[in-house]
Amino acid sequence: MYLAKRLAGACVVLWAIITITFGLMHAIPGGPFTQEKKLPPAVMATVEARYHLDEPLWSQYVDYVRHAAVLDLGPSYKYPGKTVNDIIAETFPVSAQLGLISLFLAIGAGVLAGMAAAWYKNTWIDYTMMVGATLGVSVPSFILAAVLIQLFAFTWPILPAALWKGPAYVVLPALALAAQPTAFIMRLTRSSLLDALGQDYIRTARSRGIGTRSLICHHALRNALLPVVSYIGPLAAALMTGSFIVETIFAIPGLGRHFVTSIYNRDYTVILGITIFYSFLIMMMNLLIDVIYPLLDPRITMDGKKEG
Amino acid sequence: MQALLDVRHLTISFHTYRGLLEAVHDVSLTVNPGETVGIVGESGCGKSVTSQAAMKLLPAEATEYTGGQILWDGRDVIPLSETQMNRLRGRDMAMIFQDPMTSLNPVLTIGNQLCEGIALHQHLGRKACEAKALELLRAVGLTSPEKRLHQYPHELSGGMRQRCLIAMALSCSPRLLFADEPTTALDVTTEAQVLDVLKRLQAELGMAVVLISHNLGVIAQMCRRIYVMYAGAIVEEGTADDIFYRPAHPYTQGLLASLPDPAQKDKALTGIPGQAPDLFHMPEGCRFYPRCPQAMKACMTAAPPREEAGPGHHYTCWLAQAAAAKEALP
Amino acid sequence: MDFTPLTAADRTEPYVPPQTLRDRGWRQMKKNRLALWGLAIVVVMSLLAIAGPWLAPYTYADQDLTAANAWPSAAHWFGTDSLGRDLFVRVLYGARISLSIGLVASLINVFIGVIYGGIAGLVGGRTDQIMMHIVDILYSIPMLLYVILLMVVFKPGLLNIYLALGIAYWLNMARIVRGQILSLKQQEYVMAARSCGTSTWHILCRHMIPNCVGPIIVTLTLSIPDAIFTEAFLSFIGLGVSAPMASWGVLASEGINSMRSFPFQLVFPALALCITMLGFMFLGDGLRDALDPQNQKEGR
Repeated sequence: MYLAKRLAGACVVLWAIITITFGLMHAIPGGPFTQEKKLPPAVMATVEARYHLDEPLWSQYVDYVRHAAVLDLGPSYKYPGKTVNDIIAETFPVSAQLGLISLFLAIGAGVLAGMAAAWYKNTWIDYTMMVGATLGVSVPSFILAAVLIQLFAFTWPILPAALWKGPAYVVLPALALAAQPTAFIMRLTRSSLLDALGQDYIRTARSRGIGTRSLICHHALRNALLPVVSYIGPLAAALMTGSFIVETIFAIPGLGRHFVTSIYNRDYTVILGITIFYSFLIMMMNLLIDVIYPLLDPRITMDGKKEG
Repeated sequence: MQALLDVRHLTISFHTYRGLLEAVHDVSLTVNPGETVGIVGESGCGKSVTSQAAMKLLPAEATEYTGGQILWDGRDVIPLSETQMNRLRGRDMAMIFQDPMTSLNPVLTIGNQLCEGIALHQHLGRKACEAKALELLRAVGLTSPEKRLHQYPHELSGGMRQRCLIAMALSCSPRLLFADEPTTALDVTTEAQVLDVLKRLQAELGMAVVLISHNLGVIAQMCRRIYVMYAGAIVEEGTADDIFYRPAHPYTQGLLASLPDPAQKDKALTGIPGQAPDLFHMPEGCRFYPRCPQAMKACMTAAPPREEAGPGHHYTCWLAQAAAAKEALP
Repeated sequence: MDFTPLTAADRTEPYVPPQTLRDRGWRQMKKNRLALWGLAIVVVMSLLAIAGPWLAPYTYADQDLTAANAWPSAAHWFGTDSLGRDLFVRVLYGARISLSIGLVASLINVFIGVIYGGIAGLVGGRTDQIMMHIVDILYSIPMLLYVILLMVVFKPGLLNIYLALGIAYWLNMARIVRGQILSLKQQEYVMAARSCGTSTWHILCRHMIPNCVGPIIVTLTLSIPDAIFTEAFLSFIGLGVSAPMASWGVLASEGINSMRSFPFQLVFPALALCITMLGFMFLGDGLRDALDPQNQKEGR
């Protein structure tokens, strides 16, 4: 019931997204085929006819929504004969791989480091880690990527600098992509763990002789990880935008790089298609988290109300 | 007979952003096996700190044990490590806290939290733990205990949660129970029920109880011996009769005078004027002198001596000396 | 021993000045070294951004092809780029652009967020539900994509960046303001004020606004680096400010292309960017610790 309601809501949002993106596309002054080099009027007319750009706006809109509803995002303007679906099917698996690896890397390393920093609170270990995390948050990923390439591909040539041909090719891009989220998750874990450890129920548990390890792992961590779980949604979005940069720099044939190329080429249908696809993906991710969350926090009921 | 708990001249300080703060000053108290001892005082007077110090529950990095000893069965617990303390906590001494709303872990079921302690100290299997947990919940008078085992804290009322906390504290039949304002957050009818449960279980298990409260009524109902604390120090100690019928310290007298008496409806309620001192700006001499109706010049400058008012009845005040000095004069 | 009773004069207590929240916040800030460093960085960078370009002998567009790709020297402190433009001056101008983007975009955020969140929180009830539902929905879609779309559709330029970033990131602010106001509404002291017949306007000015300022300032401080970051990102994918102007993001992404032969072209803009980020983050964290009245427990 709740799920059905959420899915219906998601559909409405998706429709709104499609409408907004469609509207934006047609707000482009002169239309998608206006370029520096003017096309002859006859060519222009045939091109417009082929992409139905000569039809009235509303019929184009209905067309687009109808196609999008069955997951058909239309043709590419720059690569004749290719549809946006083709492009996504070709390139997304690469991005998904990189993204998932980075996701697990960020969560795993971030939570562990955060726990360590909380455990050794106010010692040099904590300070080093926190300074590292702050640095990690304050270096843009393209600069980090550039530095990583310089260090590990050129100064000490131990890893490949670019392309996507095997496990060794994953290391640097995954590091560059995961660095910022790792730092963020680490700060989050540290502060929420410390917060949880200061709660009354921890004192109660201590008064019953519960050992420190069990105190952290059994009592505090579960509460402390709740904010981390709710960060997974934004994390996915961050990894996605990060992949635009990392895939471009490392010349990885993924969806992110294709998106950036399409922006350079002003390949509007592709830009819109990928935007819709990514929005859909992130929305589903958020939906999934909302469904999982009540299982972890009994105070949250399925419809998102908080009790007690 | 050796005292179960013997606190000697305990002084505790906290590191705060304004510097070192002395929360407890030169506190001595003893608890014998099986007896109920009360500690009364206003909020912030160091009652809770003293009891938590005895179990070493205070946050280690901010707390400094500046002086004194805490003898448990004749052994000082201050130098003990966390692991050594954990062997005592829960098994030998236990505590129930003031706020049942926040003292239970919100993401674990009652049964889970109960069984954890039992499994830890009694090395029982899962089945045995659950049976024991059920028995405990029944003992504290919780209705339909089978259901409660699988419920989360937020699904229970305050009184029910406090019963669960009592069940947890008693799960390993400790020899000493600290009850830190166990009924303050509850309404009056629930308070009576919870106190009854405590009384009954204490008799059954033969454990000692340290009852901490700012409510004189609760203390009077439960305790044989009473310590009165003010601003981090003990100002008077004695039997319940001593404290209630022969209070010697002006603070205790003030406390008792401020109790409403239904027999004298026309009398205006009296309080103690002023408020407890800021722990950072502690008066030099007697800590109570700014509010004391009988304060003298001496009280401002010198810490008062400990006087004996009767067997086991002590108080810390200059009045006795003043009276003696007056008598000595021609 | 003097056992004479105390007189009223003896009982006068020494006056202890009360500690206001602002005093206490400042005191906390002063103890927080990192936050002070952050503040210093932010101030210095802002001064450089404002005054720097006037002091420099070149402008950001002066080309000197004979001195292209020159390494750092006395004439060109940070070296020159491929068109012989002085990098030091370009970094100074970049500071102007990047910082102004951070500030203006964040101010737009504050403006929209405070009004939206304030209305939701103050009106409450059904209005609040609907308004927050909209925020939740917007939250679940990645706004950066729409910033990109906006930048694709409208010509990349300073004004459009201000607007796109300002419009996209007010959600967080709206949530924080609304949450703060809702919790304030339930505070006993606000109820007490209301029960005394205090006017709504007075409650708003005396209780609500002063208590919201802290979280708003903290969020503002932390959203400035976010905006600068996003602009750097946009620059990298070719949607930043247009040439010959350059933000730090543009400079750094140009630097990446020549990283192997002329690393200084990446190093200086990147350093400027990272140091400023660090400054804002330290400052924001410090402010959060200092301004949050709940955060005053003992210990530390």
